[in-house]
Amino acid sequence: MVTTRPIERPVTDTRVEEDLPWQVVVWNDPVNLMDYVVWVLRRLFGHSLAEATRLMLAVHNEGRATVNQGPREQAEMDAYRLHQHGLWATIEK
Amino acid sequence: MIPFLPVPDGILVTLTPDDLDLLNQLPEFLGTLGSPAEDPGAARLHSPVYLDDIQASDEWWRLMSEEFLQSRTADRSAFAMILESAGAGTVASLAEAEALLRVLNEARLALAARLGVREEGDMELLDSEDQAALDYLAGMQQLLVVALIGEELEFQIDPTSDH
Repeated sequence: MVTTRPIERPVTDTRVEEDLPWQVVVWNDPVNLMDYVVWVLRRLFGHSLAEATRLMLAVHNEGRATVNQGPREQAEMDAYRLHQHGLWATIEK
Repeated sequence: MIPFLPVPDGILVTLTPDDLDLLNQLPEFLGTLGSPAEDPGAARLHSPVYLDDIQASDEWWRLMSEEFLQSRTADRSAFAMILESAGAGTVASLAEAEALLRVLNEARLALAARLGVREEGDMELLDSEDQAALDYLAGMQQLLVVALIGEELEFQIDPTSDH
């Protein structure tokens, strides 16, 4: 199906990009146990069992999931705590 | 014998002589990890934090290295201390039990990486002895996770709460 609509100009205002929060991403790996990942996400971020399980399954099925977001310093501290628990975490905008 | 049992003060850890023989090797094994550039086990515990900016990632690891060193050293000390008295049964505080869990996981990750496990399915390609070692550690880790979840459910629920 084709629809006609006005061409939207891409947003180029760099202030918008600067204001974006940093994403804390956990990546799938073949060694970490599913229940352990759920436990870590609950322990570190206070997620409910349902939310931690949803995130763990997203990591497992899609290869990655954003588990938290915020200012850069907070994201770097989150990454530290995740690495401390053996999860592979990265930070991105 | 149940190795990890939730009790009001933490986790009761009771290990057989065979468990102790195997688990006592973990701190020494982790002490053999070399540099991330040369040792896949160390590299797995030193994964990049900024995928699109290697310099920023290296800088993050440089800044956090002391934190990691202190944290991992403290975990391994707690691990060794718990194992010293786990033959007769000892109650680990929640913080100590979590340290135990982190060391078990750290050892599994490093060992699997050294054995070449990088993707789903690689485990099945290992020889039976290596698979057995990883399965054993996974089993112990799973039992400890279940005990920690049980501790949370049984002993940390506010009895005055309606939920």
